[in-house]
Amino acid sequence: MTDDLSPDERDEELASLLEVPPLDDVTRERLVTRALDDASPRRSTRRLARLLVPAAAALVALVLVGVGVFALVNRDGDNAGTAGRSRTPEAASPSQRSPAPDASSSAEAATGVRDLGDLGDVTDSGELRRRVRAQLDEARASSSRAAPPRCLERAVAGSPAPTAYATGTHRDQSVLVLVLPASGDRSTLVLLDTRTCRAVSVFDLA
Amino acid sequence: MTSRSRAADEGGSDDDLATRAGAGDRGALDTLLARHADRIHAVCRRILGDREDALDATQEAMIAVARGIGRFDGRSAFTTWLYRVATNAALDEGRRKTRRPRPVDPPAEAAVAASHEDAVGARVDVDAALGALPEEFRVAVVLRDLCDLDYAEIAEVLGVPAGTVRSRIARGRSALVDALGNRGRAGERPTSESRHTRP
Repeated sequence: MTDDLSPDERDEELASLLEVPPLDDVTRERLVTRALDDASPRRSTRRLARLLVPAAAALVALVLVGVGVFALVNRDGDNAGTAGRSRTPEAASPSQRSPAPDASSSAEAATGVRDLGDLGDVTDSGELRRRVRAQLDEARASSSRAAPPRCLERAVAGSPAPTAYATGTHRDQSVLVLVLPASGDRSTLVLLDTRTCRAVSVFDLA
Repeated sequence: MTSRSRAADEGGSDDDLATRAGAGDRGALDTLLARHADRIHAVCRRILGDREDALDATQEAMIAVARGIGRFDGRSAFTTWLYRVATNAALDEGRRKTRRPRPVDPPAEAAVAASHEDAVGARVDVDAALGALPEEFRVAVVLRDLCDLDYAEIAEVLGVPAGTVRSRIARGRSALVDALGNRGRAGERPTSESRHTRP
């Protein structure tokens, strides 16, 4: 078979042995069709789309998340800036400035009862009466408290409701002084322990 | 003859069809693939030895041709390029096959297969003899004696010097003669020693 051949020549006997029967038409058709389908631009486009669509969706989601985070951070930043400006009203524009609330009127507005301020030590009943009268005679109270003192709301809700109130100390104990209307022009001063909201002393105010 | 096989015989030269197919002419590509499907299959069949593996490799080669036809530049003959694609597909399939677990034929089936081989005679023995050859010898012999490529073309397909091609063909043929000469002796298969006893 090969003994008389140089390698350059084709071995016809071996060639005949190596021959392979042709494919049947169905198999050939199937192979060609699949190869064409696999290589067609339409299929390539579909493959590309299969790759790109999830990537694009992920990108869009990423962008949306990014925009959301950016907006959130900016909003927080604006709030912080606003808060900062509110803490430094000098920096605010005139239109943004609001008048500083009157502390006493704020407390009075909350309760609807006149605030006489802090009377100091009112252990002495005479001193208590004198200071209450003096504050009642004042055109305006000097209190700067922002919120009503403890126990006042409960007192306001009771009957009779106080016409004025003040704070002070009685025997080194923090007290709330209530001015309650009595018969005629008289009033009654009631001192409430601010821890327990219970009355510790009661005096007439002529 | 089907419409496709008729079309395979029409349409002009391979180079002309390849040019048109490379430019996006689907009909030209169809004709080209149908025309050369048998050649591609024959190369894969002889390199791999197994019919199913050969069909898989043929499919892969045809897909590679269809996808890569735009890169065929015409510097070599179309058939040279085609055989390179087919050879690479067959070798790739062979490597995949060695990585895949293969079912072991039970003795009864092996006996049936042996009797079937006896019935079909020499052609089956060629498969066995080729299968016993080292891959580089087998490919060189297939490209020379089955595909009728000359040394320069085989050297181009395999990317080796022409002298190496000559040596591989000589040694491959010699080993084949030895293997086919053992045909009459039942159970004997060419061994690595017998393959390498002749230059």
